[in-house]
Amino acid sequence: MRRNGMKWFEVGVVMSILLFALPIWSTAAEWKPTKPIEFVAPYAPGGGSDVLARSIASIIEGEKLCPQPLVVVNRPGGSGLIGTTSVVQQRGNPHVLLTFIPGQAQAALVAGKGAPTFRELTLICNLALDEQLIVVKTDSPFKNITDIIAEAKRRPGELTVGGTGSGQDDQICQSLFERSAGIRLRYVPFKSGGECITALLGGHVHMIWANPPEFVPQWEAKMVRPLAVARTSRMSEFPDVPAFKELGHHVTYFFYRGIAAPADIPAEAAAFYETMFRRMAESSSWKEKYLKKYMLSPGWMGSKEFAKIVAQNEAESKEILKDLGLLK
Amino acid sequence: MDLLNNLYTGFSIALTFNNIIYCLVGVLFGQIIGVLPGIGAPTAIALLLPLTFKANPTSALIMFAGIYYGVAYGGTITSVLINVPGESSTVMTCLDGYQMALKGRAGAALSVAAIGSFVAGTISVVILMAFAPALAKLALRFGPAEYFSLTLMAFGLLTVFGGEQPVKTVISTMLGLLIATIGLDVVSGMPRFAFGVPQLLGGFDFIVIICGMFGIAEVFCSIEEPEEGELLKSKFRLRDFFLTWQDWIASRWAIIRGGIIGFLVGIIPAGGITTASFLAYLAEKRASRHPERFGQGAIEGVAAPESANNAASISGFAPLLALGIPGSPTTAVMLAGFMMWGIRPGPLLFQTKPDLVWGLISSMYIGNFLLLLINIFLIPAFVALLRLPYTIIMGFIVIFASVGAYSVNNSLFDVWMMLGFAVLGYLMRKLNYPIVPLILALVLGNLSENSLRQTLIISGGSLSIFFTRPISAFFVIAAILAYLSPLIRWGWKRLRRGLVHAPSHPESNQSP
Repeated sequence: MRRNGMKWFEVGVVMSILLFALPIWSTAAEWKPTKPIEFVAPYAPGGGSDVLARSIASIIEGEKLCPQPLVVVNRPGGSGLIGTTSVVQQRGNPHVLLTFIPGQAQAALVAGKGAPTFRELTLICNLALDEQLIVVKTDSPFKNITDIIAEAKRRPGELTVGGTGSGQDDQICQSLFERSAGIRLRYVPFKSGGECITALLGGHVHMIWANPPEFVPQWEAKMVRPLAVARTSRMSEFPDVPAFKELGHHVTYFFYRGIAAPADIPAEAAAFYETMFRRMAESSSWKEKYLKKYMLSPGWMGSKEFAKIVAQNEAESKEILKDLGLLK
Repeated sequence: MDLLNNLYTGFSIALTFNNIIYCLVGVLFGQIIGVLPGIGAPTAIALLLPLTFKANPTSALIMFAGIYYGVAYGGTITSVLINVPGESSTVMTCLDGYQMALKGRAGAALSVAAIGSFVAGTISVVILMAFAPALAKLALRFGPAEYFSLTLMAFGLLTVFGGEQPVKTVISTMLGLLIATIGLDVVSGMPRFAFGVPQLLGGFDFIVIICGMFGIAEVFCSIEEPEEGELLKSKFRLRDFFLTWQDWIASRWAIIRGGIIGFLVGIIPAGGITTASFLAYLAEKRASRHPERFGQGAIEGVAAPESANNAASISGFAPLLALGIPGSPTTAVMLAGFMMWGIRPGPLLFQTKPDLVWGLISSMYIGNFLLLLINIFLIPAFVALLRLPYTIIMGFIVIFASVGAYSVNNSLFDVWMMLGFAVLGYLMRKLNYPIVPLILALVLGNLSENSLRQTLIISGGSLSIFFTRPISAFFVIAAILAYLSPLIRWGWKRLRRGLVHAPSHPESNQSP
C-alpha cells in the first residue's frame, strides 16, 4: 500500500510541476539548452576545426554565455564526412552542434551519393575567416608571384604545389590562381597541413598552400616566406605580403569557419545559438584567445548571410571540381 | 660543455616538486589510457588541454609527454594478458607476449617490456638531447619517394613469414592492402568500397580491426579448445616474475636493436611508433638464429617491439621541438597546445625557451624511471588477474575489445565491424594464414599508396626518382634483396649441398 501511496505522491509532484511550467512554456519565446551540448569537431585533435571547437567551448564557459557546457567530441575521418554525417543523422536534436568549413561541403560533392550536404543541416553562423597563402622556402628562387608565373610559363605543368586533400580549399585556390594567370602547375595532395610544410622544408615541392598557424613557426625562424594571400587586401599580420587582388589576380577565397546544427531544430533553439555565438564573437577573449592567437580574420555572419556564403562557395567549388575532372 | 649546462638547466626545472608531480600524473594517466583500447594519447591530451590553459606550459608539456610515452607501457599489459592490444603500437607484443602468458610467463613478458622500454627510452633521451636539431634536419630528407621505398622494404621483410607458405603470406598481405583502401582516398578525394555507407567513408580504424582479429578471435579459438584454458591455471611463483639469465642473454641485443630501429623510425615524420614496433619485430625475427620460435613465446619478440615503440615515442619529439612539425597525431595535439599557451614551437624554441625544451627533455628521464618502478611493482598484481578462471577472462576480453572498438568513434557500427574482423581472424587462424602480413599492410597500406602516387605526381610519372635519391635508392636495393632472399638462400643451399655432399644424400639439409 505504501508503494501505491508513493506513486500517487510522485504523480502529484509531476502534475504540479507541469501546471506551473505550462504557462512559462507557452509564453516563452526563449529556448535554453537543458542538457550538455555535444559539439562535434569532424577532424582529428590538433587540427583547425578541433582548435576552434575547443577554443569556443572554453570561451563560452569563461564568459558564462550558456547554461550548459559544450562538450567537444572529435569524429575524424573521410575529410570530415564521418562527423558531419553523425550530426545530420540527429535531425531535430537541438543539443548537438558541428563546426563547418568549406572542406566538408566539397568532400560531400566529390563523394556524391549518401554524403551529407549542408542542406541537411541548420546553418547557425560564421565566426571567422581563415586565410590561404602561397608559401615557399626562404632559399627559393621565387621572390614573388610574378617569378612563379614566369617560370610556370617557361616550364608548363612542372612546378609542384603541395596542399591538403584533393578537391578541397588548397586545390581550389590553386585552380583559381592557374585560371587567373593562365598557367599550369602540378598539384600534390597531402593528408594534413603538417605533412605539407614538412614536404616544403625538405624541398620535395616548390611551394605550398597553407593557413597561417601551419607555417608561422617556420616563418619566424626565416625558413619559409609567404608570397601572396588569397584575399582582396593585405593581412595586418603580414603587411609585406601582397594580396592577389592588388597583383591583378582574381584569387579570392572565403575560407569560412562556422557552426551548424542538425536540420529541423526549433527556430527558438537556432535563435538562441545565434545570439550566444554573436555575444561570444563580440567578446574580447574571443579576439585575444582565438583570432589573434591563430591569425584568423573576424568574419561574423548571421544564419542568413552564412547560408548564402556556403551556397556560393559550393557553387564555385562545383564548377572548379568539374573542370578538374573530380565531378561529372 | 654546452650539453652539461643544458642538462643542469633541464634537471633544475624537471626536478622541482611541482613538475615531478605533473610527470607522475602524466605517466599514470598514460598507463591507464594505454590499457584502454580505443582511447589513445591524442584524445586524452586534447581533453586535458583546456584545463592547462592557466598552468605553466612547461609543466603541462611534461605531463603530456608523460601521457605519450606512458601509453606504450600501458598498452603492453592487455596485449600480454588478454591478447587485446591497448594501443596500436603494442600489437606486435601480442604475438609472443600472449604466448608467453599462456606458458605461465606473463610476468617475465611484462618485465622485459618494462625494462626494454626503460633502457631504450633512456638511451633515446640521451641521443635526443645531444642531436635533436641535426636529427630533425635528417628527417626532412624524407619525402614521398623515401616513404614509398621504406614501405617497400618493410613489406620485403615479410618474407620471414614466407618460409613455410609464401602464397598464404602474399594473400594475407593483399587482403590487408585491400582493407586499407576502403574509405575516402586522399589523392583523388573519391570514396572507395564505401557502397554509399557513410560510416565506411573514413575506412576502418586500426583498433577496430585488431580488437577483433586478436582479442575476439582468440576467444573463438578458446571456446573450441577448452583445454587450452588450463594452461593459465598453472601456479605462479614469485621468481616467475623475474627474468632468468637466459632471458637476459636472449633479449639484450633485441632491446638495443629494437631501440635503434624505433629511434630512427620515430624521427621521420609520418614514421610513427606502430611502424617502428613492426619493423623492430620483423628485423629481430630476421636476425634471429631461431626464427621459428617467434610467435611461440620468444622473449625477444616482446623485447624488440616494446623497446622500439618507446624509443620512437621519444625521438618523435625531435621534429616537433626543433622544427615545429607534428610527426604524429599526438604531437599534432601538442602543437595546438603550444599555440594555445602562446608559444611557437620551431627552430627558435631552443633559443627563446631553453627552460621549456631542456626541462621537458630532462623530465623524460624521470618519467621513464617512474614508469619502470610503477610497472615492476604492479606486475605481480596484473599477473594475479590471470588466476581468474579462463571463462571469466574470456568475458574480460570481450568487454575490453567491444568497449575499445566502440570508443574509437562512439559508434556501435564499429562494434559489428569488429565482430566481422573477429570471424576473419578466426578463419585465418584455422586455415593457417599468417596474420602479421595483413596487419602490417593495414598500418603501411595508406602511406605506401599515397607516397607512391605523390612521388609519381612530383616526378611526372618517371620511376627513376626512386633510384636517383640516395636514401630512397638504399631502401629500394634493400627491398630487392629482401624479396629475393628466399631465392638466394635456396640457391645457396643447393650450391653448398652440391659441392659438399654427394647427390645420394638429398635429405641432409644444412641446418640453419
